[in-house]
Amino acid sequence: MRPVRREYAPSKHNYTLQRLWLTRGVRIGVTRVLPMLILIGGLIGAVLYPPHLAWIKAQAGAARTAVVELPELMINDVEITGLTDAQLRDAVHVLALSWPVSSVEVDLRAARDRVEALAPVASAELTVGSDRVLRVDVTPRQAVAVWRSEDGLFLIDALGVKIGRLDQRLARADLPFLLDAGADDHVVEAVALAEAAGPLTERIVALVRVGERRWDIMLDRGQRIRLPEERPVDALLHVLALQLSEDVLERDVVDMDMRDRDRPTVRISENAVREMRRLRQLMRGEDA
Amino acid sequence: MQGNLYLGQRAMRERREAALKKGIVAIVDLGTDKINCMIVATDATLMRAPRVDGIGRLDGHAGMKVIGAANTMSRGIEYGEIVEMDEVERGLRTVVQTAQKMADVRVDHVIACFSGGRPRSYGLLGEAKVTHGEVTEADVGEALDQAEVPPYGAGREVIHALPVNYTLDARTGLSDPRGLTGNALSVDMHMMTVSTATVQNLMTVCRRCSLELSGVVHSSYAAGLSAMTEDELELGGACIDMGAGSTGISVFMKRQMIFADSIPFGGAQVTNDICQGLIVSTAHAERIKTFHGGLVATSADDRDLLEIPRDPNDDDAGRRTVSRAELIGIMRPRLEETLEAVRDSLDAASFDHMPGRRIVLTGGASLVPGMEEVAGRILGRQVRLGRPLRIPGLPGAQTVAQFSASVGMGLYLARPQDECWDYEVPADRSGAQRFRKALRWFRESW
Repeated sequence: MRPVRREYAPSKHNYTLQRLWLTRGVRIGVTRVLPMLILIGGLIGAVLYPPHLAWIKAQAGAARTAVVELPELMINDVEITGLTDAQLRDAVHVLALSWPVSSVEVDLRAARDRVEALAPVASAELTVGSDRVLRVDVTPRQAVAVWRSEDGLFLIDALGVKIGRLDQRLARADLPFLLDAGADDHVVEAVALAEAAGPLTERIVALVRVGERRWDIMLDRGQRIRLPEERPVDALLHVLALQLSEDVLERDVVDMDMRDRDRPTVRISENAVREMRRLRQLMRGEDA
Repeated sequence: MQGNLYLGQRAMRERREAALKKGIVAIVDLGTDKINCMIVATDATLMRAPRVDGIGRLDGHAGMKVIGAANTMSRGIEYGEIVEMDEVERGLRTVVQTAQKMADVRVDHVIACFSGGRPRSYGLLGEAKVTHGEVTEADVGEALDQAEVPPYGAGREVIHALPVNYTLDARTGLSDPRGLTGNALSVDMHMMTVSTATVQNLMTVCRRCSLELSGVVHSSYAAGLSAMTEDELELGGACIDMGAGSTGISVFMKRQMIFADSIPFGGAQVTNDICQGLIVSTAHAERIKTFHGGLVATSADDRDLLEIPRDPNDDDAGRRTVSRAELIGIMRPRLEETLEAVRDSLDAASFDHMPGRRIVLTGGASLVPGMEEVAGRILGRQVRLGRPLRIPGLPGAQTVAQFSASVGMGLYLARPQDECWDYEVPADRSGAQRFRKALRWFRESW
């Protein structure tokens, strides 16, 4: 027999629960938010379960391989333009690619950075054409001067970047010759001086950076033009003017000091001094 | 009148307003025989909406709808007062849960009514000078404030304090003097007190059910609001709410309750008498009363024999019968006694001198056949049986006289009478009040 129910009133517990259930927030939480959380949690759990994770990785890897190995995406060869043969070997070396390689796996940006890091390369452009050849268009650095530093003899471009070593200066006799530390930071100025030299060009032996602040122009016959820090090209033109009018540098001048533009100073050789004194004495003797 | 007299009532009123804003209120009638709960959904915009015919506004109850209702047998309430907390708590839980299930909402605010608490009525008179020619709310507050509160004794509490009549200079019978011009304003106030313990018990039981008590109404007042027609309320009349444990009396005049009383006689005593007179169990007695009871015997009733159900524990093998006339003979003296007590109470309130003297009987015990006739003979006036006003959504089973008080509470909720605590006490009474007044001015201006 079913026991007789004595108490018809809801228990306090039951009552509170029902009121809680009728509360809007709780109801939405239980009927909407909670199932969603359980679903999301379950999915995350299923994905993170190690065997599943391994399987997913395997599938992803296989799919990737399938794409990577498509013959349409393969790069079969490389073609580099703009470099000399000796530099080509370096370029191929730094590209660090072995053919054939899939274009999916090639990081062209990194490859370009590697190529551009080469000394003789100013900039490079890497393209993969429809003929499946990696084309590397290199803009080489333009050598504008030869520079001898403590470390040796270098070709440098306008920015002062060393393009490569040089065995002897006369191999590039067409370029101005710079000397001493600090010269590489002012290549443009040096080149401007060299160009401004005009009739003196033939006679210029080297441009010397003095104290890392100003230029001296060394000419043959041991002559030297000292230029100021400020506007050295103007000073050089001044010298040229003096040369044209007075043939200053044709005389027995050892040193032409232009550091004070208001007072160009020349030093003559010891022989010339002696000779001058003798001549003066002669003149005085005649007078006396 | 002290400023802090109505603090509890003010708090309750604020809670009630909050409940109305929220739109869901539970109405609980804790009766001696049954506990009833109605969940009312209110729509603030419809509450004061204009009527379809364009004349005036809807009377409040158009904006509300009963969306859940439940009732259960009451245990632990005697003579309209809680005597056993646990039992009442269980009953309240039952009805609230059932009604919530039906309405599919959660209720937090409860308006409760009870019929006991030995209510006592006082008439108060307050007078004040009108300050600025036109009567403002402050003047009304001042007049109410000036009313002298009689010493109603310790352990009692004011549950209703209604300004029922205003007199401005020579004009009397004003229901709302605000905006009128005059010099001397006096207000008649009806104050009703009940024992504090009753209200406290009510609060406790609500708190135990984690409900917030946002209003307490005496059932005689609520029953009057729902069982009497507009004309009866306007012209004057009395409502006799005959419940199981007590009989409530409320006298209305010009839509205001001017007197209330409660007599600890009711239907439960009649059942008790039948129980003793016919020697049957209470349940059987109740059944006999409701099915066969009456008050006026005719000759046919002598021949109408009722079979008394056997008590299974009784060895007596015979079948007992009793004539209906005998049953009437048991019931009538008790109900006559009740009605006589009602008459005495009405006499004490000088109901004789009122213009309209309709009496409306409502409540479960008023449904006994012949009640109208007997009541008319004893109370000597036009008597009719009243049923609660129809409000939207009210279940058909609750449109009977037993539920007058519940429906009345709904009406009270929809359109509460201006009670004394609705008026602000003049600002110079207290600092907090002044501050609140400044705040209100700020709110109203912007």
